[in-house]
Formats: sequence, C-alpha cells, structure tokens
Amino acid sequence: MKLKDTAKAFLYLFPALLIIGVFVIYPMIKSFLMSFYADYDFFNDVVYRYGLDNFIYLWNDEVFHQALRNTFIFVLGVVPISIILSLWIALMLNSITVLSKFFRTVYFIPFVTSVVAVSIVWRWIFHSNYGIMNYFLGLFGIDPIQWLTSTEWAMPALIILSIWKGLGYNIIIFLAGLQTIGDSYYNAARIDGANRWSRFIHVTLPQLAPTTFFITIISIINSFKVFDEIYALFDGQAGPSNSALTVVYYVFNKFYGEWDFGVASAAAYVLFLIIFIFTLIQFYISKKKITY
Amino acid sequence: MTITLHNISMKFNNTTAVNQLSVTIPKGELVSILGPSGCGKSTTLFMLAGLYEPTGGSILFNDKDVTKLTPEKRGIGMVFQNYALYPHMTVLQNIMFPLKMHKMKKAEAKKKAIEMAKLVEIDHLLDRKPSMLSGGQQQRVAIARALVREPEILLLDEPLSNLDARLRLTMREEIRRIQQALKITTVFVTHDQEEALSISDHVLLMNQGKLMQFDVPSNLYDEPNHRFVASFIGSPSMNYFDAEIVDGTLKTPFGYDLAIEAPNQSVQIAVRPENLYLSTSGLKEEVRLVERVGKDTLAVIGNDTAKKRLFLQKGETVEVGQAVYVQADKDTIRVFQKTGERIYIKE
Ligand SMILES: Nc1ncnc2c1ncn2[C@@H]1O[C@H](COP(=O)(O)OP(=O)(O)OP(=O)(O)O)[C@@H](O)[C@H]1O
Ligand SMILES: [Mg+2]
Repeated sequence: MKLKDTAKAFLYLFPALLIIGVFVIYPMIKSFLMSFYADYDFFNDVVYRYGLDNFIYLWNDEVFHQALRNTFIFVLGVVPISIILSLWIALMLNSITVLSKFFRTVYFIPFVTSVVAVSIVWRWIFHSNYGIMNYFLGLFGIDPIQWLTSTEWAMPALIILSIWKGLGYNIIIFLAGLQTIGDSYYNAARIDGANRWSRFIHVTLPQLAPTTFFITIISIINSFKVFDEIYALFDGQAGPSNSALTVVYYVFNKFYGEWDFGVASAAAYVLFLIIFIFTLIQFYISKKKITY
Repeated sequence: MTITLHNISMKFNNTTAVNQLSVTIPKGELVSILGPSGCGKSTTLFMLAGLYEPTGGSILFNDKDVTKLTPEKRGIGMVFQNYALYPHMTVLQNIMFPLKMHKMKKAEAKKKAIEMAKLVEIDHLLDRKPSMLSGGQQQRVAIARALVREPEILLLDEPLSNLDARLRLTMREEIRRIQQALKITTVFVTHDQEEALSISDHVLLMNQGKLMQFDVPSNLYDEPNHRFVASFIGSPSMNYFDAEIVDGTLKTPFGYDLAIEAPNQSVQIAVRPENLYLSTSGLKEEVRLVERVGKDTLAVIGNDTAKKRLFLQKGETVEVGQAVYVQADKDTIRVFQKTGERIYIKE
C-alpha cells in the first residue's frame, strides 16, 4: 500500500520533476562541473583537464573585480532605500481609507510590467536633453545630468530605476504584514502613553519584523542577480565603460560574448556563494532577534 | 477619582451604540457595566479611555472635562478583552512599558514593575514571553501593566471571558482584592450578571445603548425599575402574571387585591422563583416538569405560552401532571406597565 501510494505520487510529480530536472538541476550540476574545466574543446565536448584555473582567472581579473564592486554598490544602494521607502508608503496606504485600493494598484503596476518596456520609458525619463528628470531638476536650478552616458551617473540611474520597480512588491507584502497587527496593540500602547512615534517603534516595527526579514532576503537576492534592467536601460551595454557592469552581466558577457563557459560558470558560482553566505547570516540574525 | 458621564452618545454611521448616557461613578468604587451583547458596553469603556471620542455629551474626571483628551494623556490603566500583551516583550518588559513611555529611570521602573508583579503573584514569570503563559497568567500580567503607573482609574473590558469557570471565580476575587487594596476607581465590563452582582459596589445595566438602571447589586435584583432589568437579572428568570388595575385596585391572580395609585390598565406582575410557593389557595396551575438544580428542586408549571418556575421547599414533592395552587406574598411582587415601566405599590 505504502509503496503503491509513493509510486502514484511519483507518477503525478514526474512531469514537473522532468522539467525541473532538465532546466534547473542539470544546468546547475553541469555549470558546477564546467567551472572546473581547465582545458576544454567545446566543439567536441571533450575535457582534457580539470582544475581551479577559472577561479584563479577571476581572482586576477580586474573586470570581474569591478563587476563585484558594482554589484555590492547596487545592493547597498537599492535594498535599504527600497525597504524604507516601501514601508513608509505602505504605512501611508494603510492609514488612508479612500482610494487606497486604487493607489495599491498604481504602485503594483511597475512590478507586473515587462522590464524592457519599463526600462525604455526610463531611458526617456533619464534622457539628458529631453528627459523629464532633468527638466524637474532644472526647475530647482540644477544643471542637466548625463544620467545614461556618464560613468558617475549610470549606477545611480540604475539604482533609481530598480528601487522604483521593486516598490510595488514590497509595499504589497508590507501592507499584508501591517494588516496582521491587531488594533488592540495600538490601543494598549496609547493607554500606556505611547505617542505616534513610540507606537511605530515599539509596536509596528517589532510586529513587522518577520515581514521585514522576508523582504530583506528577497530584495538582497534579487539585487545580487540584477541583469535585465541594465541590458534594457543601456541598450545592450553594461553602462558607459562598464560603469554598470554587475556579476550576472559579467557572466552573460563571458558566456555569450566570449564563449568562455568555464569562467562564466565559475563567476556564477562565486555569486551563488556570496548570496548563500548573506542569506545564512540573515537567518542567523533573525533567529536571535525575532523570537515570539 | 470620580467619573461623570454627561449625556454621552456614540454613533457609528447608522448605529447608535451609546445613547444619551448620564451617570456618576463614585471615587474608589468598583462599578460593573452589565448588559446583553452589543448593548454598548465596550463602546462606553472606550470612550472613558479616550480611544473613541463621543459624538455627543461630555466626560468629567473629578471636575475636569476630559472629553477631548487623548488616551495618552488621561493617565488611566486598562485591561483589554484579549489582554493585548506585546508578544515580542517579556513579562517584565510588558509591565515596564508604561513607565518607559513616561520616561521613568530604568532601575526605578524595574523595581516598580517587580513590586507590581509580586502583587499579582507572577514575579516568578518575569522572563517569559506572553505566548508561554496560561490565560490566567496573561490576565495578571495585563492587570499589572495597567496598574504599574498607579492610575486613578482602572478600566477592564470583559477580562475574565477567556478563562474557565473556576479560574474566573478566583480571578474576580483577585481583582476585587487588588481594587480594594489600592482604592482605585474601577469600571468593569461584563455580560455575566453573577460576576457583576458579586464584586461590584454599583452596577450599571445597559440595553441598546441606553442606561436601564444604575444601582447597588441587591436593588438591581430586588427592586428592578423596569421589566427589562427584572428579566435580565436572575436565573432562573422572573415569572410574569397578567393582572388588571381597576379603579385604584390591583387584582392579583393570587386571590388578594392591593391598593395602587395608577390609572386603569393591564399590567404584569413579576415574582422571583424563590418567592413563589405552593399553597392551598391562589393560582391553579399544572406541573409540567420537576428538575434538580444543585441542592434545590425546581418545578416548572403553567402552559406552553406562560411557563412559571418555582423552588420547592424541603420535603415538598409534586408529580408531573398534578394540579397545584401557587401563591406569592404581597411584599415580593413587582408590578410593571405593559410598556415596561415599574408601578410602585405604596405601603
Ligand atoms: N467600530 C464600530 N463601527 C461600527 N459599529 C460599531 C463599532 N463598534 C461597535 N459598533 C456597534 O455598536 C454597538 C455596541 O457595540 P459594543 O462593542 O459596545 O457592544 P458590547 O456591549 O461591548 O457587546 P459585547 O458584549 O458583544 O462585547 C453594536 O451594535 C456594534 O455593532
Ligand atoms: Mg464588548
């Protein structure tokens, strides 16, 4: 009976498992192996030698270092601002009663719109001569900024776009979190003499901790993997003179541009390791902090 | 602190939750707000706390008008129906929270919190989180948190409704003990009449947002001023008999007449089950059911539309189907108009 049930369950799962196996598991294992290909003939699929050469190459490659640096700057630029901003907007949306559904939808639109379409609109917004961004800055007497064509401003432009794009998702999750906090806690806190700010610090934030933790992990992972936005925003480039080159973009370049599968796989695994370590650290911290 | 409610009303959209309520709650007393579900008890309490602003009328603490004062500034303590303990704080942090919000030094706050925890006998649980406490323990923490700032007013919203029967009994005595030890003006919301009658100095009985009677518990039971009060209080419930007033005389179904100052009308006579007794004369009824209620025996008599209940005396026995005569003494009967208002019989 047990065996029969298991067999039946396996039969149902088989189509899904097959797809996951072919498109997820196999590439993962293959690329892991590929990262150790030291001498490889890809026309005939023969490996002459395995080794750490690809990792040593990355260790010495200035471009890879730049990609790592850019990725960290991107993560640091996007994640905190995105979280604070979306929490703030979620609090506002939670407190208004009229039109709140409408605003929720408005904020969620960027999330469901194609990255390419969004990025094309932002290319126009960031345009140095005709863009609306410079027009607004001009109203405050700020000189036009070369958002997409200068090496200093390419990364900020990318960060602004990504924050804006991620907002909707974070807001929806924060709103869901806020709705689980019972009114009675706020009432109790008011009776205990807590003003608006104290109620935020001592009731909202601690009760929202699991939500914030979830959003932080998702945001960090997503930000480490940024690629589409760059590709579309800079028209298939990684920004002027690689100023917006991130690790995934580096992997893409190595793979499709230079056909260097070994180095591309090795870089992908370095990124995987970084994300893995970050996530472990966060789980460790949350275990200590979120305890109820 | 004396609390005065002056004509307060609370309207939500279309429903009037509290309607023109006026009452004075004397200093240092424990007053229960009693009434059926949805009658506006919690709403009244929330207005006292400042969590709702009344849509009409005013609230005075001593002689100070606090109607527009926010809860933060009213300096009251409150225990919520679900306790609302902060789940991320330990018991000690929960009790210290009101002190922390009022900028008390940490060492001093801790000392006070521990003192309060001792008073409600939870000082061995200080490091636990609320989720690791039983219902009764959570309630004590909630009381300690409400009392730690030594407020002059304590509000409790059905604090015992989540507890089992036995714990309710001990906890209500506990609340009474603490209230009397601290001489703190306390308003206690409940829909359990036995609870209200047993621990209160005064009971405020409400129905549909209106004040029905504000009185000491014994008067509520013995001298209800309205048929609603008579019916609501007491278990088993009040017995009613139809009667007529003709030319200043109340013709009772028990075979005697009483002089009464009221116009001619049909009225209802109310008699408590313990005041109705078997006799050789009076009203003739058929016994329908005999049941044991604790140490007493209860007989249900009458027909389907008008059942009456009475307690049998020691040694009395009746059979189902037997015809009996019941009687009530004239000082135990209460007379109500058809509209519900009481008609007093003069001596
Ligand atoms: N926030 C609100 N919005 C609209 N109507 C409300 C609100 N709060 C209470 N009411 C209504 O006001 C009336 C009184 O409610 P209240 O909560 O004071 O009753 P209660 O006496 O405490 O009842 P219970 O014993 O069930 O707790 C009810 O009819 C209720 O539906
Ligand atoms: Mg209530």
